[in-house]
Amino acid sequence: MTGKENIPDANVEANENVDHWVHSTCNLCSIGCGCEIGVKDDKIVGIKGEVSHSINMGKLDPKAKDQWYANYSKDRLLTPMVRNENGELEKATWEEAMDLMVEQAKKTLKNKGPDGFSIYSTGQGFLEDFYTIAKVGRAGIGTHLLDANTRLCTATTEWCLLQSFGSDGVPASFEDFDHAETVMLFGHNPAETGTVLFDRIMERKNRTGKPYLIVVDPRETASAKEADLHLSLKPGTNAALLNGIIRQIISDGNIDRDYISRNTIEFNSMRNSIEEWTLAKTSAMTGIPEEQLTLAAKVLGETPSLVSTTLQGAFQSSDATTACVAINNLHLMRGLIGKPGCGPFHMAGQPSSSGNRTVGGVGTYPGNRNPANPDHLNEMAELWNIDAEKLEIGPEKGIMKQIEMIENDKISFFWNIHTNPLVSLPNRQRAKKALEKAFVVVQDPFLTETTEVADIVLPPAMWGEKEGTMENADRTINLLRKAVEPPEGVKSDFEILVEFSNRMGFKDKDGNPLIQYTTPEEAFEEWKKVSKGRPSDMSGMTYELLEKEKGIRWPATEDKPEGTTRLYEDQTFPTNIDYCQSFGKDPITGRPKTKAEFQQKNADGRAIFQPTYYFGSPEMPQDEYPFWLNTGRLLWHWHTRTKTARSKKLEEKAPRAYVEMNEDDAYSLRINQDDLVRVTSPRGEIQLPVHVDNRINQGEVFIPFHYGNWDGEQSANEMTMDVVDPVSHQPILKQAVCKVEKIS
Amino acid sequence: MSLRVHFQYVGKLAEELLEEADLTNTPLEYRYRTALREKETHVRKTLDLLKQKNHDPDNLLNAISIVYKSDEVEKLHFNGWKRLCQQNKTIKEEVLSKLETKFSRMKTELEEAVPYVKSIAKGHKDSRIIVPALYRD
Repeated sequence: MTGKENIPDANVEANENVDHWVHSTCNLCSIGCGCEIGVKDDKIVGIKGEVSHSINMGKLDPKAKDQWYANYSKDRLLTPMVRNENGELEKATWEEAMDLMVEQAKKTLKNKGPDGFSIYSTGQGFLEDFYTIAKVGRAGIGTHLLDANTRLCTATTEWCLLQSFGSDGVPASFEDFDHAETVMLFGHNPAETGTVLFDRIMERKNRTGKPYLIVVDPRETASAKEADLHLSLKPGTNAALLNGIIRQIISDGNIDRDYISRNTIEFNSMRNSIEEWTLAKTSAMTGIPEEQLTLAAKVLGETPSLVSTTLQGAFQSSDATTACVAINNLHLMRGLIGKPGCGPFHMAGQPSSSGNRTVGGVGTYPGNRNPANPDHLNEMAELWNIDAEKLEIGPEKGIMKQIEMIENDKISFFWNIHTNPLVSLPNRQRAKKALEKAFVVVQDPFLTETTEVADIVLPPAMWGEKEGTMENADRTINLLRKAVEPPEGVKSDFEILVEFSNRMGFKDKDGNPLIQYTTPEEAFEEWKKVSKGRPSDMSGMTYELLEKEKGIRWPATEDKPEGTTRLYEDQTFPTNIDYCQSFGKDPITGRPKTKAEFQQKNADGRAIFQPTYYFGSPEMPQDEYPFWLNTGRLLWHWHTRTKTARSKKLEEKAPRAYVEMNEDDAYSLRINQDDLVRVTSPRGEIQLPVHVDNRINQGEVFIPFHYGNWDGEQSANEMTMDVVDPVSHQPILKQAVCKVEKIS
Repeated sequence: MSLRVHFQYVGKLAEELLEEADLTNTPLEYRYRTALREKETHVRKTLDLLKQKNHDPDNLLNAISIVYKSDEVEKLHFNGWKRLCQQNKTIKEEVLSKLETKFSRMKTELEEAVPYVKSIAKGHKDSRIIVPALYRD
């Protein structure tokens, strides 16, 4: 970070000789920083932050500045690969690879039907790709098995918003951080995973003393070190903590009764669900002293404005949706939503995972349409000019369910687009064994751990080599112009999807090709029509306007093309039965509610308080496995390092995995700094060096999840639990049990 | 065979499973048992409504829909619970296997009941709203 106004963060080779700069957006994390790509001789030679972009004002994350090196990595794939009779991947032409792909896809549809086919995509593609996945997957193939690595990332964001407000869409925006008296970072460590946002918060705090900063995290992270109040809770107790705080706020009388009665329903049901959570009980469960809980309840109960963020510490923990819904409850009972400096801000992990949800490449139908509402499906059928019977009803199936289906020979075709599940999925040996059974197509610029099980590998264009839009964590749609031509031999995701659809012969009702657009911009124009009248209406946007305005937040209608800074300013929520995106799920079992059950609530424009029962982790430390295993992220790497490990500088900063352990635990096990240890869980074991420090509590260990090639790198996901949250179906990657032994 | 016969059998199996004591007293076990209980309740409700000559079809279809949806989520939690039991070696394989047999049988019964649900739904509702996709395939 420069720390200076109007001087952008940059990393440019040949600084004096850049031919031209091209408008773009960072393709890492969910902040959505505006940037420009430096081009010389049709080659990317650098990046700089966009000073006039309201979200980052010229700043860039350290990873962002190195993201273009991977484009020129020597091991980049420049031709498709197909597994031969000897079980080896060998180079193939596009013709050969696509012929084989289509042949297998047709075979699957014939033998297994549409639900024998699954597409597992990403939160790092473009909105136009995701929209095409939605159309090809739903209207072409007819499957409802569309999922993405967003299941590991933001599925809980989506479901907590559906449960409370009736539709997806994060209520607050990044602007609200500049106005909030109090900011609570709940299971969110932006000092390492979203540095531009953290700098924005801290710059204001250093200048004005505001906001009061609460950080909820078991570890003393870089963000927690800067907090006014750090609540270091025991693993798996997020919901217990929130229940205790919320009960105390109610007990102190710090609720907005008028707001509750005018704009919400079922407050009493929520209150009853947390009645047992006295501060004493909460303290015993969470390990947080009562004085800290009292202080938290006082600050959160009295602050006139509040932004509460959540990220993987909430989403990948036990009771994930419950905890995030509790945060919505907190904002609703205090009336702190739809006003400057106010609102729940459930983050996304990836640069466009929100976009995938919005356009229906994952989750519900495009434009926040309800997959259990036949009228919404009829609308989609009309917009796509297909028979409504083609569109499958019901909620999607998450990746963990899909793994189960592959194990049981229900799915036989698995199309994996821009993600690396054999490093990122829990209990990855089980996932590997399952994927070995299916016909697997992997779309990735590099050979990865997942291409080990691929039958076909398709090499796509990378960031800077294609055009499209992305949606960040606060509903901003940003444009990315193509800076350079992709290398010869690769195609964009968009081109691959359209070609697949055409080769499969997918048609509309009139016998015309299902996909009639030929460029990303044409796809965006079609999507705009689909979005019209829905919560994520983008009918007022154009590529030209997106570039000029440096991003626009949805909804942006034809009447209001400038977009919407924050949702629910009129305190009307999308819970009307004919309009809502979901009829909700039972908070304990996750059973989808029927229309009749939702109708009985009669929410009709009011937000819904949900009960928040605490359950805790499905697995608890025991004699054999006395430690909690927590997994997470490092400042220097992104996901499974497919890109960041190809930057020499970033890889040097964090070249290998390690296990972080408390000093007292290390002492009692006679383990010293950098000793090699074996960490074992009920699912697997790995060997790695120890980092001893006191950032972590006794009885807990932490391992970064980025690592895990099959040649000896140590993967945390050998050990994680393959169980999911009942509502969002997000895997619980943050809690498992383990033991640690010194290797002599 | 009829919907009544299939649902009666599902109800019987659900009752048998609910009569068994909690084996681990863990969240996943609580969740699947809650779903199982809800399914059992709505199986009974369906059977009661089927006995009535002038039952409200919407009411009946709503109850049937809850049976299917509960069955689907109950499997998700049961399978997760079973995996953790196996990984932690907390419950004997033969016990898990017996439970699984009953859960699988309930799903089979519900799959076989689909044609009857379709005939009840005809003219009232798209049966696809009532019966989840993976029971129809």
